[in-house]
Parts: sequence; structure tokens; C-alpha cells
Amino acid sequence: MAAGKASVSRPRTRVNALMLTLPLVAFIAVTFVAPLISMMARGVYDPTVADIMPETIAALQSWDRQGLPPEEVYAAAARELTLAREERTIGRLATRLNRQAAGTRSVITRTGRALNRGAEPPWSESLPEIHEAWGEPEVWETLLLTGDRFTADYYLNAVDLQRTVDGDIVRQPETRRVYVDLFIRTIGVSLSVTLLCLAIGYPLAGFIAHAPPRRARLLLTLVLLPFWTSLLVRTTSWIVLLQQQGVINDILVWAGLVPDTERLTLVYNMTGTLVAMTHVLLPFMVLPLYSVMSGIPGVQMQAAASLGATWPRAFLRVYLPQSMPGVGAGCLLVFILAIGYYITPALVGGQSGQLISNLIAYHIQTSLNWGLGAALGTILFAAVVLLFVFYDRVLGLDRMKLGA
Amino acid sequence: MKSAADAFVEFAQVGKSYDGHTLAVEDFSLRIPQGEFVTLLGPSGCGKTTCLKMLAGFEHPTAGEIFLKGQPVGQIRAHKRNIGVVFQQYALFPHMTVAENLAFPLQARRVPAQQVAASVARALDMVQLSDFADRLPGQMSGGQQQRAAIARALVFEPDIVLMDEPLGALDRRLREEMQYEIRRLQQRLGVTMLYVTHDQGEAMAMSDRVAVMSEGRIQQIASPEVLYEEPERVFVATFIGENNLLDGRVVEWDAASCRVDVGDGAGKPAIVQAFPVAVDGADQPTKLAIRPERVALNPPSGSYSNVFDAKVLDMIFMGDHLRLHTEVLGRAPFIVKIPNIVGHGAVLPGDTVQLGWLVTDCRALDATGSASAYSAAPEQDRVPIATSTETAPARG
Ligand SMILES: Nc1ncnc2c1ncn2[C@@H]1O[C@H](COP(=O)(O)OP(=O)(O)OP(=O)(O)O)[C@@H](O)[C@H]1O
Ligand SMILES: [Mg+2]
Repeated sequence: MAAGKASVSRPRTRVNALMLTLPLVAFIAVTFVAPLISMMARGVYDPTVADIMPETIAALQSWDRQGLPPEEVYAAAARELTLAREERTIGRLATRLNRQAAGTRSVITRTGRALNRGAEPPWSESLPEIHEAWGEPEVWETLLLTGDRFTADYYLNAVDLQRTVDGDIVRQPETRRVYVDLFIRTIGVSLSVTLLCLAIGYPLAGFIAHAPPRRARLLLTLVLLPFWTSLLVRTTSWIVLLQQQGVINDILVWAGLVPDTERLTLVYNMTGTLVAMTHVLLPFMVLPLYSVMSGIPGVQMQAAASLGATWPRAFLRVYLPQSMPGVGAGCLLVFILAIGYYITPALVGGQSGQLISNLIAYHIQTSLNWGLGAALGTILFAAVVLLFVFYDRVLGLDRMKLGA
Repeated sequence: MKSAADAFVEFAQVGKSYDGHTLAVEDFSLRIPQGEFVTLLGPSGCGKTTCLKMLAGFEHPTAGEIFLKGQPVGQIRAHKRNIGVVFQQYALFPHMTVAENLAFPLQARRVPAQQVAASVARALDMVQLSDFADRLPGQMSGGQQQRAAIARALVFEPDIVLMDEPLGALDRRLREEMQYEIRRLQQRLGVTMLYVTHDQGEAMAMSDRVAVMSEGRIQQIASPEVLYEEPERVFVATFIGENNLLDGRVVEWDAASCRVDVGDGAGKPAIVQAFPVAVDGADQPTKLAIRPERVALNPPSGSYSNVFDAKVLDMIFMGDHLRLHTEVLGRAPFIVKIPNIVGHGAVLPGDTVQLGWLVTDCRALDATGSASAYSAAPEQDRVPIATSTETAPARG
């Protein structure tokens, strides 16, 4: 029997099929899953202080935090700082501590230099002579706080919180609160871009989907054209258009709509970010919409009209519901792309148009605070995953159509 | 005869061109009194759908005018026309249940909710879909979707219902069932119906009158019987049922009969007596149309005006009748149908027989029309009798 034969051969076929996917699985594991896990790990695992000053940290555990620590702690610190200076790990240590408490960097580096020149015990007297900070409890508390290999500090920092030495979680001082606002701004910008893309893309996709085939092909090509030019070129051409001496301002001045002295600031701010991102992401809205809409026969609207529905009623009750899978897919796609968008805001966003991914890039590339970068990135990633789950629950991913 | 005021729907010299130079519909005039079932029948691309669309308000005539209850409809938008339309592809709304689909036209008319529910229930009952009210169209068979589409077009009690090849997607048995259902419903409700099909059997079975169309024009409009018995053009004669055609030239003419020389295929004249339909004088070219079942085999002498010798080329047994392919007047195949009754006289291929037919069964039509029934009916499951044969001079 055919059925029997099929069921006998199935396990083998399945194993073979699985084997065929192995290279892909391996590729994904190496290039995607592993970096992802290592990135997430960096946000919670930081052994710098624990590795460089293990004895100091151990000794500090017995400190009652009433007044200053005992002499043995000072001795351990002096010994390990000298070693760190010799092994050139002191810079890393200073950076790590400085992130926890601003100003700690100079304490460490100056102490390192002084110890190198030679200093005498008792350390509880000579260290405060080198730098007065050693005579205060704060620096010891900082060491205690950062001594754990596993730390929630980066994640707390990423949401503008910090941990006190007593274990309480409090907000960062006013001047250091940036990330929550930035997350909110990023979500706001992504939502705005999504809505702008929808507002422009919906009628456009509808027009293309129901145009005669030749015109539809032409229009679709025009929509896709941006895909074939470099993102950099597209974004910089917006600078040309939008800058104060740019084409749009020239036209507005020429038309007398704005005086020459008050040219509009359209770029290097939020406006620039919105305009350029909407343009760059528009195809991701149009394509899924087009693919869904071209599956809606034109006769549906005629049927609605013949049944007595006015155009708005026919649109709302007949067309819109049938195009919803495309709306969902397009919005999800654009929002997810926008929330992690990086090059465009970096180029045209100026100071006020920067988004969270620009700061992640800053921490990865410039400040080298990978832990914080990882924490911010992971939060972003979690937000996207949450959105996906939410979408699946509410609308169903299986109903989503990304393109034909 | 109905007067002009009685015409419920009227097309007056309507023309339509989509591209500005070719005409999809040309000089189309049609009057439909209230309650009549009229079918537009014609080959693919002859403009049937275009006519329906103009009446429904999806397209606008480029010439002439359409009247509904005596009022020109030019300025009335589609959603105000109160016309029920059943589309070929059903056009049910896939995201609504059957009941919601049926409620749609009533809600658009702001009918109170209670009444909506009652009307929907009644309409579903009418098409025997009461158990399917909560199904989505995608969860139903083609025939059920078709019935739902019909119910939706009727539920709001439209003035007129248009159906565009609504049974095209159904299998033959279901189609015949539905033909009967639609006709029964239309008669019970007394609704005016404009129906489109390219299946002549369907048109004949359902309609009060059939308008046969070709290339955007109405060729003939009449009841099914008249269309079959008295076709006025070669197109109609060959599109409806089957006809043998003989090319010839009129030699003598008067209003009741004419003599036509069709030639015997060997260069000698051969005179056939025919009934003049589209000829009005001597020396005109014509095509004679003779139905295969009106040809008598070996007729008693003297009873038929036209009697010719013929050779039987082939005989096909069809059950209820025998189908002979013969050669007559140098032309083959000339089809003859003999009913399968006792004493029909067994003939064998190769036999020489005599064929006879009456003047009134031999209609002298226009010479310009061509037999186009084959191209007109691309469907594979067409009823076999719907074919036609143009006899051509036999070679050798
Ligand atoms: N939207 C349109 N634009 C241009 N030409 C059209 C359009 N619709 C129909 N036509 C042309 O008009 C003519 C009549 O078309 P119509 O759809 O009325 O034919 P039909 O009789 O309904 O054929 P079928 O049996 O295949 O449905 C055809 O030649 C067709 O190509
Ligand atoms: Mg059609």
C-alpha cells in the first residue's frame, strides 16, 4: 500500500531532511544565536573588579561599613593595585569603577602611579595621603558594589536606575537620566514613522494594486527603486533637500511662504529623522499592503455598491477588513525596523533626532561600555519579541502576509 | 405588445467603448417589462458583462441612454440604483459570515436590526441555507456559495436582479438544479431578471426571452422557441442548436418561397426551394439553414418539395437517435438525425438514400454570417446537440 510504504520510509526521509538543514542550523547558531547570547551575557556578567582585586573584595566582606575599613583591606588594595599597574590592567579597572561612581578614575590612576614610585605601610595612612578619597567610605562602597561578577548594574543603568550600597534600587541623579527618555522617544519616533508610512503607503498600495498591469508594474518599480540605491545616498540626498540652503527651503523662500531670514530647520533634528526614515521604510509598508490588496478582487467593491453601500461604508466594511493582514504586517515590519534604526538618525538626526540605537552604537564603538550597550540592546530586542508575541496573540502571525 | 411606458428597464441605442475606438457594445436596444426573465446569450467577449455593468452603474454608456422605470439612470450612482447583482465569481465578502453577508445590504439601507434578522432568516430559508448562517463563504461548497450570493442579491427586494454567468463554476448536474431553482425563485418573487450566459441550453431552459449577442450587437431577441424555429440570421441559426448550411444564390423570389441555386458540387445547377427570411429579391447570395432533425430519410414520393440523392458516409448511434453523416449536392458532412423508433429503416455507411425537407424547414438567411458556434462555446462540458455544422463542398 502506498500509505504503508510512505510511513515506513518517513523516519529516514525526515532524518535526511534534517541533515540537509544542518549547515543552515550551524550557520545560524554561529552567526546569530552565539553573538546574541554573548551580547546578552555581557549585560549581566562583568568580572573586571572581581578578577583584578579579588583579595580586596574578599576582605571588604567583613567590613561593617561603620567608618573606614580595617588595615588589612588597605593592604590588600595597595598590593593588588600595584600588581594591576604592573600588569597594565589598571586602566580597565579605573574605567569600570568610574562608570559606577564618576571621579573614581583619577583616584585609581593616581594611586597606581604613586604606588609605583614607592609607598610605605601602614596603608590606611599612606593611601589617604596619596588621594584623599581613600579616607572616605564612598570609594570602598564602590569597590564593594562592583565586586560581584554578576551584576544588574548595566540593566539598571539602562533604565536610569542604580543600586545603592545598601542594596536599594533608586533612580539615577537627574543629570544622568537619559535612557528612559530615549526609549520613549525611540518608540514615539517609530510609531510616528509607522503611522506616516501607513498614511502614505495605504493609498499608494491600493492605487498600485488596482491599476492596470502595466502602470502597476511601473509604479511598483518606482516604489522599489530606493532599494537599489545605497541607504547612505538616499539619506544624504535628504540632507541636500532639507538643509537650510537646500532645495525645499529655496522653493519656500522663492514662493514667498517663508522669509529668507527665517529658513526652516528641517534637518539635523526630529523632522529630518522622521522624513528620512519614513522614506527609507516606505517600501516595507507598501509591499505587504500591495500583496494583500492585489488579492482583493475589484468586484468586491462593486458588489458592495450594488448592495447599496456608499463608498465610505464599502471601504470600511468590505475593503479595510480584507486589507488588515497587510496593514498588520506592514506596521509590524516598519515599526520593528524603525525601532532599531541607526544610520539615518545618525546622519540627519542632529542632537535631538538621535535614537536609542545611536547610543548603543556610541557605547559599543566609542565609550566601549559594552555592558551598557548590551543591556540597552537586549532591552530593545526584548521589546521587539514582546511586540511579536502580542501581535501573534491579537492578530495571529499566520494571518500576516509579507509579500507574494 | 407592451407600450414604452411598461418597459421596466430600457436600453436605448446604448453604445460603450472602453478605449475610445473599438466598441464593446454597439447600438444596443432592449426593453424588459416588469417580471420578465431576459437572458443575454453570446460568445465570450461579445459585450454581455459590459451591458450588465452599465445597468448596475459600474460603467457608463458612451452612447445612448438607459432607463429604469422610465427614468434615465445616467446620474444615479450604483449604490442608489436598487439593483441586485450576482457576480460570476460570487463576490461574497470572505470576512463575513453568510448571515452577515445577507445583512449587509439591509444595514446599508438602515433597516432596524430586528427586521434585518427576520429578512435574513427568510432569505436563507428560501435558498435552503438556514443551517449555514454562521459559516464563512470559504467554508462552503461552490453551489452553497452560489445560493448565498443569490440570496444576498434578493434579500433587499431589488427592482431588478442581474446575474452574470452565475453557474459557470458549477458542475453540470448542480448547474441544472440551480437553473431550475433560480427560475422558480424568480417566478415566485416576480422579480425582473437580466441573466447572462454563454450556454445556450441554460438560456433556453430559463428565459422568457433570449437576446443573442455577437460582437457587441443583438442579433435576435425572441422566446426560446422562436429563436430555435425561426432564426433570422446565420449566427443565431448556428449558435442555437444545430443547422446544416448550404451556400447559394437566389434565382426566383416571392414573399412565401424562393428558389435557390446551390450547385450540385460538380458545376451543374441544383435548385432548392426555401423560405425567404433575409433575402428580398432574386440574384442575392444566401445561406440555407436546415435542421438535421427536419430532414426525412427516403420520404414518400411527392410529399417533400426538396428531395435529393445522398450517400451515407457514417452512422453514429446516439441512443435516442441516429446521427447520419451524408454527402448531398457534393457537400459533406450533411447531418441527418433520425429518431430511434421502430421502422426507422436501417441504413449502413455506403448506402445511397434520398433526403427530403420542407420549404418551411429550409430558411434562406444572410450570406455574411459565419458559423461560430464552436468558437462561441469553449466549454468542454457543453451539451453535444449545441454544435453546428457548415457543410463544405466535398472533395473528389
Ligand atoms: N475594463 C475594460 N477595459 C477595456 N476593455 C474591456 C474592459 N472590459 C471589457 N472589455 C472589452 O469589451 C469587450 C466585451 O467584454 P465583456 O466583458 O462585456 O464580454 P462578455 O460578453 O461578458 O464575455 P465573457 O463571456 O467572456 O464574460 C471585450 O472585447 C473586452 O475585451
Ligand atoms: Mg462576462
